[in-house]
Amino acid sequence: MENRNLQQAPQWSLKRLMEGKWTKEFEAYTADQFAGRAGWVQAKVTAERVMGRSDTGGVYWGKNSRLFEKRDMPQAGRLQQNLTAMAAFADWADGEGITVSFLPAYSAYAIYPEELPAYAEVFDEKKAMQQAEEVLREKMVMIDPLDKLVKHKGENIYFLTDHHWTQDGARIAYETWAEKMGFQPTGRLREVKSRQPFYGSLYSKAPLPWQQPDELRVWVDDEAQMQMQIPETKERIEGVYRWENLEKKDQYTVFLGGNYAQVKITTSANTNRKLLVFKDSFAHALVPLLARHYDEIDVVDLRYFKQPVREYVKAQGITDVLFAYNLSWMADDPYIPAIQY
Amino acid sequence: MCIFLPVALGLYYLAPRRARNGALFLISLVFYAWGEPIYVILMIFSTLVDYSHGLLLEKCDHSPWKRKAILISSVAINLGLLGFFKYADFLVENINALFGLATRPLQLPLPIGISFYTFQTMSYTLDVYRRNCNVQHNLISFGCYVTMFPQLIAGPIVRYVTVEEQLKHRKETVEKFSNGVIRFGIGLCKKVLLANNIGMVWDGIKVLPLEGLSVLTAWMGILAFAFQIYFDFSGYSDMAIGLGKMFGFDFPENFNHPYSAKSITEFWRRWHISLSTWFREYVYIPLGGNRVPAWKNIRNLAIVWLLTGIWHGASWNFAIWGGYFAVLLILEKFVYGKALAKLPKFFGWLYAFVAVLISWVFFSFDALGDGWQYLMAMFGKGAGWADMRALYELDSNGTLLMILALCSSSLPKKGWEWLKERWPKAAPVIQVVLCFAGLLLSMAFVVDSSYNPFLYFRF
Repeated sequence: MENRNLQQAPQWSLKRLMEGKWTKEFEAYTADQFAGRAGWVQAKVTAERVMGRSDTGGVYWGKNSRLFEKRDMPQAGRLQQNLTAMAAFADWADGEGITVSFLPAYSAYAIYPEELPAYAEVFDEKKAMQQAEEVLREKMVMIDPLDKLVKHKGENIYFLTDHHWTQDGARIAYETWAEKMGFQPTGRLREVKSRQPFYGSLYSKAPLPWQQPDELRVWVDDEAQMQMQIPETKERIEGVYRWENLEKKDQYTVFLGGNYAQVKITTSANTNRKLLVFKDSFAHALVPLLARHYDEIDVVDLRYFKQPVREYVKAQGITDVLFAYNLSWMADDPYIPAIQY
Repeated sequence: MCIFLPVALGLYYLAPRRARNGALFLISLVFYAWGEPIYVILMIFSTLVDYSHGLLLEKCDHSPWKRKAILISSVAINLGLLGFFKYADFLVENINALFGLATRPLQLPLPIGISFYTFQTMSYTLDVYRRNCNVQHNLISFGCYVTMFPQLIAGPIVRYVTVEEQLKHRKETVEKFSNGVIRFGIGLCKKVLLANNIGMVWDGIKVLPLEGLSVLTAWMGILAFAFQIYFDFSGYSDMAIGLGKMFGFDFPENFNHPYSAKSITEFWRRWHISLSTWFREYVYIPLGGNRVPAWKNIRNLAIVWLLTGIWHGASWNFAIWGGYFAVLLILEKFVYGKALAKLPKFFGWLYAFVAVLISWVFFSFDALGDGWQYLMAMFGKGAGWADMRALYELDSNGTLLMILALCSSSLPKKGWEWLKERWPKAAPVIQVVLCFAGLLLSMAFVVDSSYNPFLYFRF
């Protein structure tokens, strides 16, 4: 996602000039402030596409206007390392009487492989899931939403222009999870549609003028009362959606407000159960649907969360833990081993 | 560059004719200081050294041994500077390795363009010594020659003799200027649209695990690199020549469709011409060239090509790269050159092109072991014949590869001449339109690039 900060006008000093810093920043500044940058980028990727290229800047141009993330293959052994850490965590949690479950999010290329460009290679998430099953089967509740996702692949369960699933996709995963956990899935949800077309993170990298945009849909549970607390910013928000973000460029941040180290959700469910979710951003569309079943949901992003995890789990009186990761991210995530402490 | 060039041209043309060398000198210093604030002093030093040595040579005109001493002094200072900044760490590392020492490398950043401008200043003193040119009394004119920004960073290496006259009186004409703009545009397109794009393919392949390379991927990768380095470097030369024309200069050509060569001898007459000319003029011929017994001729070739290799970088792989060419050139000269010329053209071309591709493997891997393993992968010691990666790159870059092949040949030039003959009125219009479109597109690629390497900045 081209969401970095633009280079600001550089400060001038003789020392910086002599070190060559000033001139470098000046160049970055003029490049970023270049008039109509978006138009030039569009011209560039259009030229690439017309020339027959199948990818640009980490994005595959798939069939039917679908964009896929083009990632480097994960570092060898990292998936196994993460799974081992998760297994050890589950052993520990078992001793504490905590239920642990695993619900992976698949990437669009696992669901729509036939829409990838010819010969495009992607990380094999099915194989990764098999590997996860082997390591974790005995240790935690394993939920595999793949078959159900594939069955519903015609129903806008993945964005065309963003690497995430839609909340419709997350909902299917949620239903699989609820079934396995013995919960009655939340039934009546109200549909809210964004008024503007959604151009996601993949589009930002590969903006073809004729790209078909997405429509972002949110499913709201009107009967549940929820509050969201963000320790990082000391904010308290009614509900789990940040509606104003539907007006922004990255509309996906409507779910839980985006990436934070931690988000705490309190509900009126009255079930005496407290859930902790270790997650990446795929879970943002999923977590709101879980709110019916827990009094509290603690959503933790291990990339930014810097407290000793086990201590924290005990202190908070957590009763359930859910690992909700995208398989490709999980296979390359260096932060998961932090759960050992 | 968008701001710098118009300002530079404005200043230059506003300056009265007499002051134009001075204006260009100043502009060039600013240009260099922009990237290398400290090392500009080094370049000025280098300029002063050869300027003063030129004057000294004139003063001691009648004393052969004094002249020799002056020449040696100049060459020693120039090579000393180059050696210190470019080869000191290489030496330190090798001495460490040989004797098990742990002397700390200096880790100085290489001053941009030092390999190019020391060769230029040296050409001046050498030619004054050999009485091939007159002594330049005007420091500003000489400074203008050494620092001239269009070719300062990546050549061509302009020998002093070729611009001696132009420094005194050159004619800036509208026609020359517009030719310069078009030449610059062609160079920019070659660099930004062709070299950078195929460069991404090579960048993707060279980081793959070497033992997992299929034959097709390995060839695809080195082919991508071959195109990248040619279009990058010749594009840069085109830009330099074009800029030179805008300032009224005629620089020598540096490339002449090298990938159409039908032998390695021919390849080196077409590739980086200004460098091979330099070595021929100042090393090969003084050593006796080919007018000596065969064994001496072989020795001379070996020396020249090892030096050419090392000039490209302080690392063993460049020495091997140069040595590889020495062997091929010697073989062509003394063993199979004549037979090669009798073969159908296609086989000559195939031999030369494959030999050049192989040379790029040595050239592009600093670590000898990696280069060797890559080479083995090209000949089937990797993983199979073809894999998804190769097919994907081929599919995704098929059109680009065809354009690259076409642009490496002389067809565009021939097409252009045909067009000029057929529609003499329309041709210039087409040229301007194409050039403008190319510039706009290049701009789009530059604006959106976090990727913009200049391969020859390293040298």
